[in-house]
Amino acid sequence: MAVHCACLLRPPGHTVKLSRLSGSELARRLNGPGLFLHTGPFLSRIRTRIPQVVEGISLLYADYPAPDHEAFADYHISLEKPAGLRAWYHPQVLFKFDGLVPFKPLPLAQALPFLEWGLNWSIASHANHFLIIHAATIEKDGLAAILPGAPGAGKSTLTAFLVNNGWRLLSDELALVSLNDGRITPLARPVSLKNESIDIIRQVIPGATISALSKDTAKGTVALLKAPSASIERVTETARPAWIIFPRFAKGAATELTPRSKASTLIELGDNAFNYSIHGEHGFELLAGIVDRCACFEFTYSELAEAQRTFAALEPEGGAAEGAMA
Amino acid sequence: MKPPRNLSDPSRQDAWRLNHQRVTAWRAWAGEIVVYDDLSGDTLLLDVVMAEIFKRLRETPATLDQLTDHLGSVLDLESTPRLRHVAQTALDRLADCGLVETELAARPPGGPNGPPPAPELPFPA
Repeated sequence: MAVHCACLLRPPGHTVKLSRLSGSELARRLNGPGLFLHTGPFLSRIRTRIPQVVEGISLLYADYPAPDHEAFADYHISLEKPAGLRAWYHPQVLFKFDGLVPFKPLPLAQALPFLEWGLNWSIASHANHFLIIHAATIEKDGLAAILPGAPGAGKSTLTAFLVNNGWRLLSDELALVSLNDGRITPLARPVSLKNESIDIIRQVIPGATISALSKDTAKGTVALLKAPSASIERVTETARPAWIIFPRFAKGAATELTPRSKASTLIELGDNAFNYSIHGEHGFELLAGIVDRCACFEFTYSELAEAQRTFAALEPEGGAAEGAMA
Repeated sequence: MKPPRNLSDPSRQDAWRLNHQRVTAWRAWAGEIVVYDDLSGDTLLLDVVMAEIFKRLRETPATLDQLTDHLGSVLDLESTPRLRHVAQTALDRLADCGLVETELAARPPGGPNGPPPAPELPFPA
């Protein structure tokens, strides 16, 4: 990670939305000094010459602040083609973080989702000033619903639909929990859609901005849905967790919201947290406090419109667990 | 099945207590308890029987017989040998996790009522 002392040497840059940059200026930054991009509380410096990544960033990050230069960035990222004959025979892409290569290369056609996965990894591995849970988070009237779920459970499909129907996107993959007050800090970035959910979202959200398909990834076919502009604009507004809901898509199933045990919810949230163990007892108290104050449910759905009605009827609750520190 | 720890001889039942070096934080909801073990960093979910034993030991140390009577009282069951076995199994599991210990084990080695000190090594450590 970069050191802070550099900020003494250069003044902060002029910030415009990325959509205000011309195509040639965007390419110049990405090919040269790097594109500085604010996503939630993080500033990334991204470099790449790969055309589909340049196009993907232009499409999906159009509404994000892009300062012309900054002295400090949280994450220095680049996507590059490996050198050698293989670049011609079987084109691949490398993800670099601070000049290091944390992952094996992927096929070049997966370069755009690789950027998203790499950014998620960068945050989950380094942003220990948050407790980070693998969960989508959405907000309405200042209250957040945390939606943890195993890959393929239908969490992103539900999130994509709800944030285009009355809810605000806080995050699709990483719930950032403040260590001080347990509130959720927004990290509104593109929503990762997989397989059948891509066509479902195309049908139910007319005019949705969705990237080109990346086929044959480890998660099947993947496409990225642009985050709603309103969610990106409100990226500094934190929210209080009020519900923890484990969604599960089941074809043809009736919509069902079932209360679940708070104790097992706490265990499962801990299992879904990337850095719970790092925070020790404070992490336990933080997570236990959130579970205590939230209504906890399992949620089975197959119809998105019904799911929307169920979520619209959610009521917050006040918990009162018995418990203590020794 | 593992033999019980020191329970085979009913005449020398030790009192059990919480291991406060490991149990530093916990939460209880609707009969279930989640405990944070500060030594291992593990978060443990206790079932109803373990939770009742945990709650009883939070008040004062207790022997297996006292814990069996407590379970009988809160679960509205008779203190039968079967219930004693259930209590023993739960106590064993809590001890395996390091959440409880006998008062004997908690005393400093070599004390008047504590376990004997470890023998000296025949060579410098």
